[in-house]
Amino acid sequence: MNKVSVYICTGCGIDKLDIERLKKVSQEEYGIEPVVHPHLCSKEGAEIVRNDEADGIVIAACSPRVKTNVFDIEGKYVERVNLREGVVWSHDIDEHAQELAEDYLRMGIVKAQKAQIPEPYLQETSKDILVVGGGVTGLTAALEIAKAGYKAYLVEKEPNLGGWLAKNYKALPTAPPYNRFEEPIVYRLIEEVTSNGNITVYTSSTIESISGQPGMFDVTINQNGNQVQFRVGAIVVATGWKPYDAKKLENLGYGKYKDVITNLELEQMAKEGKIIRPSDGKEAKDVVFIQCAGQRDPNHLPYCSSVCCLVSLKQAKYVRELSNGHAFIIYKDMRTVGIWEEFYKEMQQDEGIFLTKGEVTSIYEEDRKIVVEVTDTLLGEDLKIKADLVVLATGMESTLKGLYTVKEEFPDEKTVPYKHIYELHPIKSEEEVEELKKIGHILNLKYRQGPELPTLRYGFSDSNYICFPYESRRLGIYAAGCVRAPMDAAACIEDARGAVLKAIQAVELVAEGKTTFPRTGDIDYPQFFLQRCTQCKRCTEECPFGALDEDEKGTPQPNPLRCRRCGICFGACPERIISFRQYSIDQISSAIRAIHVPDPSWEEGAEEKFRFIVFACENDAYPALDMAALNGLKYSPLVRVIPVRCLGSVNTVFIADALSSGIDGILLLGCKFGQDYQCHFIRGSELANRRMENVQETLQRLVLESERVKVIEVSITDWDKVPKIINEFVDNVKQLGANPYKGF
Amino acid sequence: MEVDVKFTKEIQELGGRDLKKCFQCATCSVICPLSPEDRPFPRKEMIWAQWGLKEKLLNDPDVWLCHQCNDCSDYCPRGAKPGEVLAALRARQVQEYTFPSFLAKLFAKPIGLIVYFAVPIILTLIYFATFNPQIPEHEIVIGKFIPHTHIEYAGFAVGAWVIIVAVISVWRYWNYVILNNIPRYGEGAARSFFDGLIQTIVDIIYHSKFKECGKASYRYYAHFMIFWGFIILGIATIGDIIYIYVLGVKELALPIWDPVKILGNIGAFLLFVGSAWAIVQRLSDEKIGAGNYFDWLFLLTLFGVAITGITIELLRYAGNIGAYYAYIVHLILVFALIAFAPYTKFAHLLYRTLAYIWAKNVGREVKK
Repeated sequence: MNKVSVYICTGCGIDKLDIERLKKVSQEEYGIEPVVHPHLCSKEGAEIVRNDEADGIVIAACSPRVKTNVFDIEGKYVERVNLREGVVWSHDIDEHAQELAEDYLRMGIVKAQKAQIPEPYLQETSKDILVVGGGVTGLTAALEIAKAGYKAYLVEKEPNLGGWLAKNYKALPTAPPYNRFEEPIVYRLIEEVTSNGNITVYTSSTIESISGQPGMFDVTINQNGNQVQFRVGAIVVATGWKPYDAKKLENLGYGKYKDVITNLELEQMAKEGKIIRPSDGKEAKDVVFIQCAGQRDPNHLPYCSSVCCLVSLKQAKYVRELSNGHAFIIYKDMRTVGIWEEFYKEMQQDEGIFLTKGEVTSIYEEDRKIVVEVTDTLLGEDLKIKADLVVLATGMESTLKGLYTVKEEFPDEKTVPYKHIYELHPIKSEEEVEELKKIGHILNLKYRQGPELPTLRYGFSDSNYICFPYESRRLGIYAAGCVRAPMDAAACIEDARGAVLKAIQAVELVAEGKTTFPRTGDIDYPQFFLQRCTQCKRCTEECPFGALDEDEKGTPQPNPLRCRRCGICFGACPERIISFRQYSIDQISSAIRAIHVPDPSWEEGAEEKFRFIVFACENDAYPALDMAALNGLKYSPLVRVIPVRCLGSVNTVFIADALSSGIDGILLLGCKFGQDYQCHFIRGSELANRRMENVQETLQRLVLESERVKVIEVSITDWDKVPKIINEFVDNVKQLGANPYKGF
Repeated sequence: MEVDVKFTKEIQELGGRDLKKCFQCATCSVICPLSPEDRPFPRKEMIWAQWGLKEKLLNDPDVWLCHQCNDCSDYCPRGAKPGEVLAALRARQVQEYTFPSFLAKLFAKPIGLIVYFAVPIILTLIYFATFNPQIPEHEIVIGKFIPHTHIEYAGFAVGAWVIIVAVISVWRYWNYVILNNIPRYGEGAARSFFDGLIQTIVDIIYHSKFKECGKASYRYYAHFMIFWGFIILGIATIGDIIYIYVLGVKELALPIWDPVKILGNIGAFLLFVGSAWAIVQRLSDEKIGAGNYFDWLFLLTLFGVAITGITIELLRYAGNIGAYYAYIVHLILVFALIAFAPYTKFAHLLYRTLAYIWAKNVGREVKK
């Protein structure tokens, strides 16, 4: 920054500090005359700040998480020094707290001085949106896109639109009294979609490749041998589900007996008008439905597909209507969630539908009937039901399951780097990986990190993104419907709407060079000083969003519009060639070095004045600290908290800088990692953890104790525990003694 | 495992209309103050009824352990009214075991009202045709209209009929329902049959089971009054018989301070208040349900007997000739009440008592 101004607010208890000493820090150490105001966020105070001509403004007042409407000034760099929650509300006011406040001011000024005004990455972007999949989800998505005033492209691999719902005989009731079936909604949707001028439909089409970045996705599709190309700004993936292979359910008689079928096969029979026994073509009168077939079972699908109970109730009514027979439903639980409870109640009223909980022990043929033996029933005894037909309620798998989605899951080096991935995917051989690569893909993304949306648990797409549903690990690409979780048609429709809203947000933001969650609106993107790149490939591999492609040599090729601005790349780079304009290696290193570490050889009482740094991630850890302060909890005044965007952006050079400055201990507080990760940038805290394990070696070489650097997972709800965590760390390191490199 | 849809429909028509609503949450069994912990009721009866398991339900004595306190219906989250379902099942068992079954089946439905009243009315007409009783002028003395001896003979005849029917029905009930359930449920207290009998009688005298009622706590008082009112009326009748045959009293137009009369009035008052209270309370709670036709027939007949009896007395003391007409109506109602007792809810007298003797013998009561 060319010119930096400093404002110190003395409201909210900050006046308990020695303001004169604070002023001196700014005046004598940095030559900036600070402006002191008793109530900076008032209309009058805000005016003064706004009218300041400097392009870097340091506001020493409350936390950066509050009063953003007052202190965020367009075109200027504002550095918020947290004297309120960070000092006076979370510490006793004494000499230590005073020194803490002064250090925070020093760090703030230095960071403001090192910051630069960013320029947005502006390109000619498209605001059209691609929808992949023409089932109920895709059709709804395309319609919502058109209704919102954007252009949609709908790509469907089958010759007809409608997906699975078009194959249904009837659909579940959507209005009271919930006892009248309806026509599947897809027929109406297909009509609306095909007659809408803003939607271009490609059926019998698959995607050959998608290259580029949000706003500039270049899509090539193959329609019956012809290639079509177009550009879109965002993508909604709505490719839905595929049925679990019932041939694996031999223990339930599928494949062994012709009269044991799946719920899909029954639906088809109903659509053709009669429910018959496949073995002899006679009408099926007594039909047994077995729920949770191959589901909620660690040997098959370990989860519940959420719709099969509803489907079986519906199909039981088909049996009553078409065959005037009896339908027996054997369930583990009746999962008719929400308003579907009304539907369950209505179906129960039917005299020919019999429901009981139970475990099926065996299925065999006897006298041309299929006998189903059930134990653990509600009737108080074991049952032996002689059925004409047995219907297995099999479940849903995502269409992404089994595809080679992300390279890191099956890397060539035979090591799977991330815990939440290796916990689910045992290491496979290189040959198996090659076979997987040959199976047809959905998106065929030309991303270095892999051709598909990454998957998480059970093969569904990773839209786990905790606080931000629909967001995936690929910016600008949104998953909706059963491809991301089993759901019924009503939920698919809502899901499609949600994904479309996100897609629209994405195209609008990237048109202005801005990113989406969690740093929505940020225009500052990482700059690469490629002359010094050693092609180590750490950044290209570790970027959680695949924002970096590689050339043949391994040099990173950034795609700024794919980037969520986490800074994990800059934390990874050993050459430190990556930086943001407003968040750089130089900035943080300088802030670390600006901390005044009392030198025992010069200063009196310096032995008592240990110094610690806490890197706190802005998503969970820093807010937890603020919340602890809001609740009056206090922690050691010897720690200097440096907010970082993600622990993954903590470069090991910061540790080196800190230790060589004489800092006694470094604590990294960040979000949980692992299979149920909470890290808002997916793997930042896990990477930090791994890097700090490597740092242990360096520490040992320097004859420093490994306990001086620690990574601890916290979540925002742990605000009551964070002060204790910090104090424990401080006490442990104090026991080890001061950093021997102090004063060097 | 055969499901009988017809049977389910029968139970629904007998009052268990909402039985299909049950989803086996077991709240009813938990809340029932009379249900034992092992294989409690009424939950299992609900699902058996949904599946039309006729054999199981007709052989289930647990339905008689229920006193229809209706806590279950009150707590049922689905409004399945298990209290009503068990009442329907009791009606259905009475139909099955009382001899001959077709009469029980007849009286369980409103169409049976025709026979219910036709029989006593026709008998009354036959009597009038045969004996041509005359309404005395200038005095209200019931015995001069229809001689008491005629009433006695009719009473013995009806009584004999009822006893024969009861013995046959109880025999059937005992074999199918009670004996079928001894090996199946047996555990816990193994007392003697006599001991069980005494305990049951004590329970009845104190109405201890009724005391457990939560929601419908009025039932303890109402039933107590109906039960004891009826017994006191019976004692008063015995008093009358002693007057006639032992003390040689010619006319039973007793004055109001006569001890037997006083007893009779107390009985009548209890019966009247008890049945009126039951009628009013039954209609007061929609969630619990008002009870089925089978129950109402008995209750209204009792009430009718009480009110016509009181009417006769009031009219007699007022010197009004209407007393004689009230007497005819009263006799018709009393006939229906007693003669058809084994086929109506009145049968619970025997079935429930036997079920409790059984329950005490196999240890099927709530452990206190």
